[in-house]
Formats: sequence, structure tokens, C-alpha cells
Amino acid sequence: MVKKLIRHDIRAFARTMLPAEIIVVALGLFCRFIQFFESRTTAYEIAQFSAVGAFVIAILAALFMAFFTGVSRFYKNLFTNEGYLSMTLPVTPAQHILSKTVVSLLYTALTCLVILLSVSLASMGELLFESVKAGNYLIGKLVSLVGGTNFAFWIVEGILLLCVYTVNTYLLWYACLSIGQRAKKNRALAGVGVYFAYYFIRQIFGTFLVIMFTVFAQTELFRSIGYYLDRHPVFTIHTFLIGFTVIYVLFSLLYFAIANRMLSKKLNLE
Amino acid sequence: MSELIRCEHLTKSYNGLIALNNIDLSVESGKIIGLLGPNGSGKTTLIKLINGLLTPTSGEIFINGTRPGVESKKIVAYLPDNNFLNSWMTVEQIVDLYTDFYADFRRELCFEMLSRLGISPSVKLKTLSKGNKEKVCLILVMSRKARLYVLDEPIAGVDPATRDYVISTIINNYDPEASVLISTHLISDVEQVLDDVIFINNGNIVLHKTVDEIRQESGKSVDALFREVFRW
Repeated sequence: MVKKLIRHDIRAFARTMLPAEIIVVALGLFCRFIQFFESRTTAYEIAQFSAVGAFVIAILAALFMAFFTGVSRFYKNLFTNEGYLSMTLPVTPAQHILSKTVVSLLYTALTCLVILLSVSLASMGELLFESVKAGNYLIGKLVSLVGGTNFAFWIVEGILLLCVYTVNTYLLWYACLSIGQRAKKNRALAGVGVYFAYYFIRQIFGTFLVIMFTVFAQTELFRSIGYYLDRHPVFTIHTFLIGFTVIYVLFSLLYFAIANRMLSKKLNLE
Repeated sequence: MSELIRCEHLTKSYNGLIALNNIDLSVESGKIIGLLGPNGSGKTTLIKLINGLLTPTSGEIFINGTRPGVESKKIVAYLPDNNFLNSWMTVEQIVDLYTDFYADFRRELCFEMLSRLGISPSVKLKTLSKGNKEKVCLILVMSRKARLYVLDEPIAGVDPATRDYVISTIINNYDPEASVLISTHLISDVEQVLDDVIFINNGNIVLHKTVDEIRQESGKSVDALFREVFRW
């Protein structure tokens, strides 16, 4: 059933996301195209400035749309009129949440790939060549310093962290929007309110943790940990990447459980 | 005959306002039941509870012996009183969705009913008239071979010819082993097809009898009795 839900969600997302992504690629191509007419005239400079401006705006809009579609699809599909069909399908709330999370992650990744591709298209030629050369040089330097295996693991751990962070962001919104459903009216707004309230509390808690850390950093135990990490930078980066991934996974599970509980035990589709 | 719906001390309140008040109800299979009551009497609340769209404040509800969930949703075909379909989808896409998720969905029958109405599968739902949209919704629901059909105001806001179409579609397509729960206040239009009647008022079940019992005991039609019971 999850596969079927994912297939239908992919189709629903495509309706808004594909045009946005096509526009980004088209503007990238256009930016490249006008470079063929390069001249020192004002008309060319205006055209180039406009094209690059439009391209940057399209990139930002595509990123925002990927995020907004991921969040709004959850809300619209489960808590508005569409919910009368979605919530009467023989699937569990957990399957709904899973499907929406997977598809949101897929489209966010796709949008990032499309942006990367279109930036490459726009800068094709000398600029891209120079960037690839510089990138190769930096990677070569890093690999010779830390070894190929460590570098490969960093890349994998980094990508995993990004994916988990993205999932965490969507699930946090799903949990907040689900809690917002407990409000008497303006439930979507209440969901946004829950998000910002939680964000505020998290900031305060984060600040408190930093203060506590500063205090405890003076102790012998923390000093010896700091000393060890200083001497083992490769291990430190692995620890940092894996540690944050684990933290985000734990929080994601918590948000998933909250959204699932609200949908399965507290649903009130009025 | 088996028990399809059972409510035990079922209560639902919205922000302190009681919509269903401690009701006990049992609905058996193989019947067409009219859920009748004035606006705000609790009909839609009861229907939403049956479909698991609302959580009871207290009490229990069982559909074929299980609480509303995946198992009950497999056997209940629900027609809400609002437009619940994604308007950007084509008719075929929504039929695909029903085919994918409901094992009891009769795809061929659905397309046959749609073609009788002259509705092309490739047409987008947003381009259909309100009446045709409602017909598509009804066709989708009645194309299922469900154990329980729950129809919330299926004939409200449609012209008399469409009302006839809706009623004949219900009668011709439901499984005689199944039950149909129809919520409406247009009693005279559905009275001839009803087996049982449930009167609901202010969240209370005020009457639950067969149509024959009502006629024999009161000597009145269901419509006439309704007007008497709910007179202002």
C-alpha cells in the first residue's frame, strides 16, 4: 500500500514541481545561450543581468516550492476536503506519513540535482572547466591527507546527514500541523504557531546547553575529550557527522510518532 | 444477518457542544437504512465516526466487529456530503486511485456507468458541472462491492431527475447482502426504498424502527411521521 501511496503522491507533487524544475533548466540554458552573443554593449549587459537574475529567482522559488509542496501536500491531503478520501482509504496513518515524507525527500533531492545541473549548464565552458579543475585539486589534496576511504565515508555520511536533516524538517512540520488540528479554529495557522513556539523553546534550550557546555568545558574530563578530538581531526569529523545524524534520526522518530498519534487517535476532520 | 454497526454509549462533543449524546445503536446487514433528522441533529457526526474521520469523546463504535481502521475501511464505501475529489485529476486518474486501493472496486462497472452518462474518462474533474461531479462521486462509491455503503446527503442540492438517477444507481448497484445507510432530510424521495429508519435529534436516537412497523403502528408514512416528530 505504501508503494501505491508513493506513486499517487509523486503524481500529485509533479503537478507543481515539474513545471518549476523545467523553468529552472530552461533559464539555465537561456543564461548559457546569451553568452554566445557576448559583447561589451549595455544591451547585452542588461540582458545578461536580467537572465541571471531570473535564473537565481527561479532557483530560490524552486527550492521554496519543493519545501512548501512537501508541507502543504501533507496538510491539504489529510486535513482538508481531500482528507475525506485519503483518510478513508484502507491504509494506516503511519503509511500516509511515510509516503509523504519519502516523496518530499525525493522531490527536494530532485530539485537540488536539477539546480546543480542547470547551474552547470549556465556556466558551461571556461567557468565550469575551472571549477571542475579546482574541485579536483581540492579533493586530491584531501584524499592524500586523510586517505580515500575516510574521504568516501565523509561523503556518504554527509549525504546521509543531509537526507536525515531534510526528513527531520518535514516530519517536524507534520507533527506541528497535526498538533494544530487540536485548535478550535484556524487550525493551519495554529500548526504554524506550534512550529514557531517549538522553535523558540528549542532555541532557549540550545542556549542553555551552550552555557552548560561552557561551564563543563573547564572540567578535566571535557578538557581531555577536547584534547583527543584536536589530535584526531578525521575521527572528529566522522563523530560530528554520525552524531548529528543519530540525533536527527531520534528527533525524526519522535515527530513521526507525534504525527501518527494525532492522526490515528485524535483525528477530527470537521 | 450480521451486525455491521454497533455503537455503545457513543458520545461526541465539539468544544463542549454535544453532537452525539451517549447513543446505543445496532445496524444489521442486508438493509437500506434512512438516517433522518433535521440540520445539526448529529447525522454527519455519526457518519464521520463510522468512517473513522472523528474520534469519539467517549463510548465505542464497531464496524463489523472492529473499531474504525484499516479493516473497516476495506468494507465501508463512503460518500461525503462535500466535494472530496482532487479537482486537478482526470476521471480516469481517480478511477485508478480507487482501483489501486479498494480490492472490491469494480472498474468495468464504473466505466460502464460513466459512459452511460457520457462522461469521458480523460476529462478533468474541475471541468465537470456540479451535478456531474456529484454523479461521478456516487458512481465511484457504488462501484465498490462493499459490505456497508454510507451515503451522506446523496440527494441534497440536486434536481429531481438527478435524484431519481442517484436513487436508481444506489438500488441497482448495491449488494443485497450489504447495508446502505443514507442520511437525508428529503424523506419522500427515499422512503420507497428504505427498510429501516433511524430518527436522530439533538444527538439522540429518538426512533429506530422498520418502515413497516412505522406504517402499521402510526398509520403514517415515514415523511408524515418525521414532520410530526420534528415539528417546530
